[in-house]
Amino acid sequence: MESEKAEGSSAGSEQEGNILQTKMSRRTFLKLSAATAAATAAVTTVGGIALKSRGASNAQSTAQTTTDLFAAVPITLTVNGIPYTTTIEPRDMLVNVLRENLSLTGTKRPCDRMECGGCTVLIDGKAVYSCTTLAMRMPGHSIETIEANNITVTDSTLAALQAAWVTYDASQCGYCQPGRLMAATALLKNNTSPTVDQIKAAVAGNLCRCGTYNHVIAAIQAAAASL
Amino acid sequence: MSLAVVGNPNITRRDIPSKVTGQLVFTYDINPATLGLANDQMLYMGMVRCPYPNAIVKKIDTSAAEAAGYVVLTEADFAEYNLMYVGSGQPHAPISNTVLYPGQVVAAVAAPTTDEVEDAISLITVEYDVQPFVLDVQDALAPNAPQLFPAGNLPPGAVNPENGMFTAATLRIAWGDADSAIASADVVVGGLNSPIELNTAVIQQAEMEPWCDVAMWSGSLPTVPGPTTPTSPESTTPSAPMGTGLTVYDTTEAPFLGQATLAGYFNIPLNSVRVIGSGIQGVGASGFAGMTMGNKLGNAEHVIITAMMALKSGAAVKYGPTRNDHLAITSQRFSERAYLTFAATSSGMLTAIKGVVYENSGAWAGANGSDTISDILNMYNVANMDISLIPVNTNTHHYSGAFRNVGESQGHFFLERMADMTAQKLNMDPAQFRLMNLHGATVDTQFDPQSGYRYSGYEGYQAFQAAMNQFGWSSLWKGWGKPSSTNGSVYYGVGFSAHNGQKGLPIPGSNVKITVLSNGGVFINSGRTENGAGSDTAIPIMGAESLGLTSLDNFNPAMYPGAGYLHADTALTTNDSIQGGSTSTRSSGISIVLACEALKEQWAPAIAAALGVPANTTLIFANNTIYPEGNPSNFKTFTEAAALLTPANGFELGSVTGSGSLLFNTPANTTYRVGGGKFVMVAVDVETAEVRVISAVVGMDIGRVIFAKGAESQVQGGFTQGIGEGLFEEFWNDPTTGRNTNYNFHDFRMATQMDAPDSITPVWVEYVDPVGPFGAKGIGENCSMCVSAAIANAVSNALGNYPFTTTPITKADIVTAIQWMKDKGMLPAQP
Repeated sequence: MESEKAEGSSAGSEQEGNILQTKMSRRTFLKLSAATAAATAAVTTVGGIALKSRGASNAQSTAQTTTDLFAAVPITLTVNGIPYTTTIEPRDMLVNVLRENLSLTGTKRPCDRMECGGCTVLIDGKAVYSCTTLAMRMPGHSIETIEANNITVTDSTLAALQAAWVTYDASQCGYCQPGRLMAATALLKNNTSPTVDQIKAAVAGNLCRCGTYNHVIAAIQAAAASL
Repeated sequence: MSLAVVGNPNITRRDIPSKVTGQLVFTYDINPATLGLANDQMLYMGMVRCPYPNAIVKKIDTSAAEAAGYVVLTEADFAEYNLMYVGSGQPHAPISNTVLYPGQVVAAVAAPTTDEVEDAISLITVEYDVQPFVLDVQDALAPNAPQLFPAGNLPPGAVNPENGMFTAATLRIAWGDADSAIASADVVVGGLNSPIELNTAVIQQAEMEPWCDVAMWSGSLPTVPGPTTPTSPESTTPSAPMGTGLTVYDTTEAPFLGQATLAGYFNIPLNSVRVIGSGIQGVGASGFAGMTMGNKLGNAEHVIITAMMALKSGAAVKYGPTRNDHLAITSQRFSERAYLTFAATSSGMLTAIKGVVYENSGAWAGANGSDTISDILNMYNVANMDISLIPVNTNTHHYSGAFRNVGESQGHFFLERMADMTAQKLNMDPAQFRLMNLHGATVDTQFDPQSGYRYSGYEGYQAFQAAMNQFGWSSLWKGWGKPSSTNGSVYYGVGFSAHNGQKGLPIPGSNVKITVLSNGGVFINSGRTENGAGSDTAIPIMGAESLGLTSLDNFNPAMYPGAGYLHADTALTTNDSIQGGSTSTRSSGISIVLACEALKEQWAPAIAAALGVPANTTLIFANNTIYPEGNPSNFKTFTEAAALLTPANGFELGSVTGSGSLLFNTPANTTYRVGGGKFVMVAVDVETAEVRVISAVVGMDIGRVIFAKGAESQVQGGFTQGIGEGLFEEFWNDPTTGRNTNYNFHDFRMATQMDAPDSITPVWVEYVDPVGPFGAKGIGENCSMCVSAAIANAVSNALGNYPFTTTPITKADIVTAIQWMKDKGMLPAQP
């Protein structure tokens, strides 16, 4: 009878991303990377550069220190035109900060590893997976989520798509649709008369298990025609 | 019957605005702020899972995690409680030191943030005795195979110890004399000693919102907030005390079953458990599921583990698994292996079906494959039948919970590949072969051959024919060995599958309440969850039709304050059975029609008085008006009539409510089946082995279309789901290690936007089903049923009829098939 020791949910195996077989999760990796950066910093006195946001001109992101890079730090994010100040861990991904810190739960987290697109938001108008975007990098950038039009309509492209989604019944359970709507918004902002192939390519990174893919194409075509 | 709302193509899904604006809070979206809790009042839970397929926990060290302040659960925490069951399987503790499948939980840990959950998991060390394992059904029945349970790898009582024969715990159904019929048949596919082996893969529910539970016990926590909208006089008084006992927000299709499971497990009164299966802060809709792929039933282990963690920690606990974690536990469809023989006369009449189906039940679950057998019994008229089901336990997960179809996809794949191979051997058009042999073509053959029960209403044969004609089968099918057409290296193949599945049972105990408010608003209270299948729209449609309304406006709380639909909360709603098995339209539909009749009975005297007619006058509700039968010019508008609902007129609440319950009064000796056919064109590039589904036509014996947009989406979505089953999806355990290799969306490949066909066209065959509301049946599950078979038949046709016998047909299989056909000189030449 073989006897083996396994730590946590892992068994010391090799396959990246398999929780049952991988010792190190992505977040643990980030945490360790940060620790390495901190250790390096202690020698070189460069300090925390590895994690410093590109938007670090924002004064509130300077709270991180070289001695405790896991310490919660204040951060200000501009989401749907509204500045939000919150406290995050440097390893936090944008999707978690939106959902857990800001309670903007319209952005979904179906897979958390860049496979499904359910977490798609617009960053400076470009569709981005927020599950693999460090929130620390976001100060100074404009973030747009599915909630953008909920107070007043600030994005007419998104509004046209939302209306078409209703007419063409492009959503059933609806959990993946916010991400797909944001991807479609990015498409139509750059191309108001896309071909079917261009539409497919734009939302190909958004998985849907309910499978109303054809209604999605029809809805995007209708929204494009209405713009 | 003139219908204003039922089947109206302009009615849009009621809950879709809350979904496309991100306002609906799904269960997975719950955070402390959502529930009005402080951040330190909620913990997040993760699972420690064993990677080995068969192991015993020798030692588990949780001290480091506990020293760091995390709360840990192990088997010991469940020692004082009874064992639980998954389905009809073997009893076990929710967390057990006896591991029988890779991914089974050996500990749970809770931490203050989602990030820290991963830290906490890494602090727990487990030492295992790793045991030999078995993954394959036939390996598991071999002598010396590792035994999962003391009685072996068959369900308890499956074998008579005295004579070694299978018993009723397995399943064998026979009539006529299949052996003699096969021996004397003109044409045999398979043979008594050489049956055709067919295999299906394990597929995953893989819904986009992972399963999620948030549990809390009363005590120091604030009272749980109820749904913020909608409310009505009838729904604001909880039927059970709130803020006492256990509250669970759950992605479930069966909140009342979950309530019973939790109350039973913790041995507390039923009304001390509140299960909320609906979304909050939104109109109607629920915490997930992917439309009738379901979410889960009430008996999954992690619901109990979450509640136990809440009990131990004294905090609210959220179990919102990662995708990897979720794919380790979600509902699956077990693999099946069949050995089948078909026999026919030279004129094409099917005379015998004989075979055995091995079901891989996984570790803890029991037999679920009886639907496979039911479909084999019901699809064709066969004078001689001999079919067996053998469910076998193996060291795999294979939890057969909520998910479209149970054994039907597997059964239809077996049947429809065998039928095509039989037609090929007869050199007969496969569609003509079906038309000659399909069961239920006429009323006198619409019965279940096993039970003798009559089909309630059935035009599956007509639906098959309608789809065949719409598709243009007779011109597209060019004969055996010939693709439909070619374009360079791209070969176009056509194929189809008939379907006949047992779906849409009207479930006794489905209860619905409907209320008309004095402002004209209408409110529905039904414990049914809305998981994307559209019952949040379909049930109001049937209510509106019954009340003579011409739109769903009166259910809109923005237009009529207090109107709406309250779902799936065991403290506030009716018990409206479960959202599954395509049962909702029939079950809640019958109930809401009854509820509307009860409501009208109370309301009618006041309206009659206002109209100046005797109280017992028959009133007609139509076109947003109410009038005496035969005198539509003497009317009150619906709004005017609603304004009569005042205390002065005897309506103390300022409203009137009717209740409807589907009792055990459906016709005796009746079975409920939905039939039709799916016709498919595929393109196969014989140089690159790329396969693409080009178009599909789906014929559906629907009875009556209720929610037109939703029904079309069901067909589209179900078919697309079936593309994955046919071409990509396989949940795979490595035979050398027994470990699973694809707990993620990259390696467990589903159909994407790029795989969507150019068109998926539904063909509805409408008539009045005698049992269903407005003549409707339930079709959700039939939408994916048999798609894999239709695709296999079409791909086979494109390649000159390669004998595919497995799902999925992967790119590697296509490469093999092309080479095999080339080697035999049978691959049709490129023009």
